[in-house]
Amino acid sequence: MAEEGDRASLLKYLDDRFGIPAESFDDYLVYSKKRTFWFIHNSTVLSEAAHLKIKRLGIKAFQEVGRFIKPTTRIIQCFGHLANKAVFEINETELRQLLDGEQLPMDGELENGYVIISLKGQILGLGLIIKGLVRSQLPKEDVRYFDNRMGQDCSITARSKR
Amino acid sequence: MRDFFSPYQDIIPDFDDFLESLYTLPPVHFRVNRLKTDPEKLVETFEERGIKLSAMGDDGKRFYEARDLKSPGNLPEYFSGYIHPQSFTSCLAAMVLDPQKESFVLDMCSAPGGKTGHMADIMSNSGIIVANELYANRHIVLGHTLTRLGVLNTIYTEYPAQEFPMKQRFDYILADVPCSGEGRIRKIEGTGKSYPVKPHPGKKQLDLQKKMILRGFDLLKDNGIMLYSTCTYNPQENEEAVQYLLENRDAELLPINIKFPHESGITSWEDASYDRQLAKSARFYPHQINSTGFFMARIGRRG
Repeated sequence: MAEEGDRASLLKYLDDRFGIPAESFDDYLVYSKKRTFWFIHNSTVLSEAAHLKIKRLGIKAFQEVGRFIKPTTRIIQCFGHLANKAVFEINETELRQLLDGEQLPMDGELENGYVIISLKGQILGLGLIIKGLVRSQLPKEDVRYFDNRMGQDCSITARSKR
Repeated sequence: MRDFFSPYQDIIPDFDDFLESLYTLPPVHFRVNRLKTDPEKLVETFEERGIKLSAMGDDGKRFYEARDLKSPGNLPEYFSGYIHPQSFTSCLAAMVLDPQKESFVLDMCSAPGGKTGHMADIMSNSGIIVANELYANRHIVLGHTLTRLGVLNTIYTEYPAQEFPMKQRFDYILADVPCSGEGRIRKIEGTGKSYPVKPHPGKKQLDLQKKMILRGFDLLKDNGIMLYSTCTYNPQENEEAVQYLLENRDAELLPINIKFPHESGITSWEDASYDRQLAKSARFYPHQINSTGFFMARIGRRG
């Protein structure tokens, strides 16, 4: 289990940066190993697994990188819908631009750091805003085949870069 | 194909239709993941983009066939965990087991994780699912599937399923055991897609399945329920494994109540005869349900 201070600082980050209330995680436990943190839903039956040799659990939520903590794409996909700030709403064209490596301007004065990328309300993951410009932090391996239409080969730009 | 499946000619109804179905591609089916999205909203979004969907059954509109969708894994909705492409019969396993909220569940052979994720959906991410998978390389795809689907009630273990530790008991167990995979065999001429016919299972695999079903049963709480399933037609891997359990433990078969086309389990094959209870198990054939072949038996403690 992560130390209470670590848990508090992770939840404070989510609240300060994205406006996701700390109470949203009341039903979750935070585990840590080295510099990585996992979230798992708490349950009265969790103790029944006490004798098992556990390989890992829940979803990897944060990783410490130097002095910074980086939320994972997957945890943001789970809780990003609760955010009320630092959310970058985009359309399909802008998504394609981001995936092609372009940086897009974001309105408002936001400190450098992570933003949540939302495609018409669908939480995709994270971008990084530096001096008002957002670049994709979506995992390239997972998004290079993106096709917003029919799930068919539509010769998207990212595919040709393989 | 006819030669390979001829041992089942007497147990598969409309055998010629069955054979013919093996020369067509199974349709694209997917499950809507309610942990991440609302099925009706998702359908609306798809239809706005011209993707036509047909609901499979009337069970909460969770399963869909998408005739025009070639590669659902390329959609943003896949990346975001809103959908999970899955053969329809595989979807039925978690639906039949139906693990209740806040229960303690074991998935004995969890990778690639589609059924585990479906159980988490049914349980609304409550309780705990132990996702067991022996092979380290399969943990990669398992973890990828479950994290993509937003599954937050799972712990991962890597025991041999037949030797899973006995210090705890479970409310629900899914024993979707390694099998010959005959139910997935298709031969598609001229498409470049062919599914090579595998040999029928050897004694080692049959023994392993029997050990797994025994261990699964031993891990059940008194009122627990286990689902034993395979994607094969072979009675040796299906009814015979369940028969072995009935002969060696105080187990009973429970009814399977689903509206989708299926046949009852068989009570005899070649020289073997099986307990009458085996008729409570269910066999799924591609020419009847337009999906992969599947077998399932729902099992509890007797009395």
